[in-house]
Amino acid sequence: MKLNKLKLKNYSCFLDAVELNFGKGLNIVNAGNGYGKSKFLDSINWVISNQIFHGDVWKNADELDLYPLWYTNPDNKQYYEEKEVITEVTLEFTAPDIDNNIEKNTVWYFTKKRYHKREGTKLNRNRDELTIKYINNETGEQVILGKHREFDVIETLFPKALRKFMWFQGEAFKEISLSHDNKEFNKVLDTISHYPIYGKMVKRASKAIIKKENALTRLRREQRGLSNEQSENLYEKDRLLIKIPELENKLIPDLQSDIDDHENKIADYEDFLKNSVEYVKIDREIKQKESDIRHINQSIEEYEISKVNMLIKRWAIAGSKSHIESFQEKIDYIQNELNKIDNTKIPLHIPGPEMVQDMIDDMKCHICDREIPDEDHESYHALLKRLEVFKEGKKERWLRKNFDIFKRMKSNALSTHSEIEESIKNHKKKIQEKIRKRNKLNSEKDVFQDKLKGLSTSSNTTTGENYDLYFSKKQEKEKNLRNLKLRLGGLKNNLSKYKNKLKELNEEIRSFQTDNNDINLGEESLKYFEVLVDSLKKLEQDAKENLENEITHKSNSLFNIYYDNPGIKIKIKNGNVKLFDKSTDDEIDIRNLNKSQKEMIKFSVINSLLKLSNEKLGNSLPLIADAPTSSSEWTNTKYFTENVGDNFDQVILFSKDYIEQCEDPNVKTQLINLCLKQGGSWHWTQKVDKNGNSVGRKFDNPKSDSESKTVITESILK
Amino acid sequence: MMEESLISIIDNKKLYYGTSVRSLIELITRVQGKVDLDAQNIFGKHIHAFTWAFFTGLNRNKKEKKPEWEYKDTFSLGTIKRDGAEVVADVMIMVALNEFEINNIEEDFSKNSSIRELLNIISCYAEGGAKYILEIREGNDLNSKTYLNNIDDFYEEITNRLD
Repeated sequence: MKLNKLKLKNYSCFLDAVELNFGKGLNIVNAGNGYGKSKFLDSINWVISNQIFHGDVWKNADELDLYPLWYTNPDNKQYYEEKEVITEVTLEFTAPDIDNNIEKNTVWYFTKKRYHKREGTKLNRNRDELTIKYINNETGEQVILGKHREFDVIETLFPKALRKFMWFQGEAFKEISLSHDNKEFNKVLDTISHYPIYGKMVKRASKAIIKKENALTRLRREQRGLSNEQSENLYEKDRLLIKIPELENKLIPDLQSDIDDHENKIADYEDFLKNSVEYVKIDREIKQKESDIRHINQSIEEYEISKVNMLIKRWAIAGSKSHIESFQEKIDYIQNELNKIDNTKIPLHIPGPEMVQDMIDDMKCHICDREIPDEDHESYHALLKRLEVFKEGKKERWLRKNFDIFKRMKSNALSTHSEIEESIKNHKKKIQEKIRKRNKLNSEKDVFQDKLKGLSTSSNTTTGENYDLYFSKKQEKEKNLRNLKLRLGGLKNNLSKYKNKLKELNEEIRSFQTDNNDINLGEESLKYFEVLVDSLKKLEQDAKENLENEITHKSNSLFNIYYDNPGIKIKIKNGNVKLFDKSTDDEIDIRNLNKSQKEMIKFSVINSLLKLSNEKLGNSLPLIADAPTSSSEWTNTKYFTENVGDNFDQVILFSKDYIEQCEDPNVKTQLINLCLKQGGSWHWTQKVDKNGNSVGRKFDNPKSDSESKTVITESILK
Repeated sequence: MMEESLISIIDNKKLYYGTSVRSLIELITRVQGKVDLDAQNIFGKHIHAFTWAFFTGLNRNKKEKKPEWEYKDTFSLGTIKRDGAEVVADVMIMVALNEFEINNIEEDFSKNSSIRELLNIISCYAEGGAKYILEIREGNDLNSKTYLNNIDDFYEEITNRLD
């Protein structure tokens, strides 16, 4: 079987008609988170089963809105004004012509439409309409399948038990437990094998035996001359024939199912708690790193603040060295001025400038008391000259004072500049050391944060706050489980006792001598029936073991293909998946595996079922997987991608795991070539706004669903 | 004939400044008019902002042409010296004197106008530096908008001047 085409119109985030064509072999559809990856698979489920996996459970699609929210946004005027909107999905398959000749393939078209009518801002579901058509191989004409045939055709082409493992790989993981009895898993085994026929035969034969037993008991009771003991035996047998089936068919299976539920829940809690412990541990590490970083930041700041005075009172002059050096010109200028001054010294015995000024004012020499005749007199000029000499001396002193200050200023500034150069460099070094330490802490913190992110995206996890709650829930379930197991033990014990008692009673009852031929013949025929039931049971057991061996073999070969060097062996026994160390043969506790290993093991088991379904049912189902490698490292994703195509006629992977790697054009080319070489295809989706511009993921913008649509930006098909 | 040294005359006259220096004072000091709540207001006094502005203007070669000085009742270089930043004030004077053309030292500096002219050189660098800082903060990128909000920026600026 091959899915040739998936066509969506007005479905969820796909607004106008979007078409994906697939080939055989490997097909990859690249879609980031929130870009509608799962919606492709939802649309297939809607058409085939009207069931959609939504919010962790399968839901009837009638309860869900499928139209694009784009229609509800008044900003998208043209769409908002539409009174009627039709959501339409068409699947085109190449599959066996089960309506005419199962040996031949034909082309099947499954088209489902949902009609909506607008009421205010909302679109209301009016009705759904499914049409199945196929090409008649003989006439080449399209034939519309009658409504009464639709159920049969769907069930034959896509058996219900297998469907969820085929279409919705991501959720199939939830349906298959590795550690406990699993109903879904066993349902698949029943679907793809012939041993259920033996089971049915056993049931039928067992019923016949009981019927015969009852008839014989009736005949015996009707006989005359029965002792009290014989009557009681017959009464007791009647009682046991009611009790045993009640235990076997109702009480024990119900209790077993209750126990399974408890065990599954406990396993979930254990996973949860394991992750929580890891989460809390990593969270603590991050908090420690953050505190260290805060501490360093604080110490940087405190250190810098302690140097603020230094910064503004000394370091501020950094870079001014050339200006300080240029100041020499002004020093030289004063030096020059000083040189110009007549350095004639005034003798000490000469009167001071004030006395000379007095003598000029009084026109009289106060030393010899002689008068100065007039201003032309030689003595008057002598006094004036003397006064000038005094003035020059004062100027010289002033200049010298400034000269000294200037020189000191320059020298101080220069030496301070050299000192601060050194201290600024030391300061920088100290800060850089602290920053280096901070960077190291930051990158260590990043590593922990990535780990935390991995934990929160890869599984259910919780913060420490919920830890206690889940721990007590787990304890409560464990306590209940112990009680349930005790009860089960009791019931099984009773069953075994009743069966033994019945056997004894039968022997005793059969030992009654009777002349009644009907009774004797009946007893004889019962023995044959019992031999037949035992043989059928043996056949059923053998067939089941054979099938489990086949699944074991296939699962291991797929696991080796999907996971590089796994070192683990898978074994299917009594409907359970068990794991063993390849080298030591020791059983491995599943809880000790990493998430990627667990998922790949499940993937291998599920795909071995699909693979076997091809052989057992003659219908090669394609593998259509949603994000199968989301928990794997790139090495394993690559290994898986390179090998998965070899095992199925068609594989379609919807994934985000190639997007980042495709930033390297070589990797992208290799992946495209890998798909095309097998006959497959390569697609790329993008979310855009009404102007066709790429928009962020819906998680970043909750309104984006009404403002954006998913489009196919790249489609390469061989 | 002047008795006082030229430097002590200069030291005692008040420095004038304009609106840009005023805004910078509000931005990076803890004095009155603390406008920018995000800024660290790292310095304690007006003179610190003035000093920072002056050396920014000097190193970035941003000297404002002589503006109208809105703020005249201010502080002197002596205040800066008494704050323990003598060398800083000295360098300011040296820069101003370098740019001042002396014809007759005695006559030139006996006039108030010459002293004011000299001090204006200092004020023009401070105003230019402050304006430059405020312009950076009006830039569009995030780093610009928070320039000098963090003490690291001051140290980085100083370190860069030596590189």
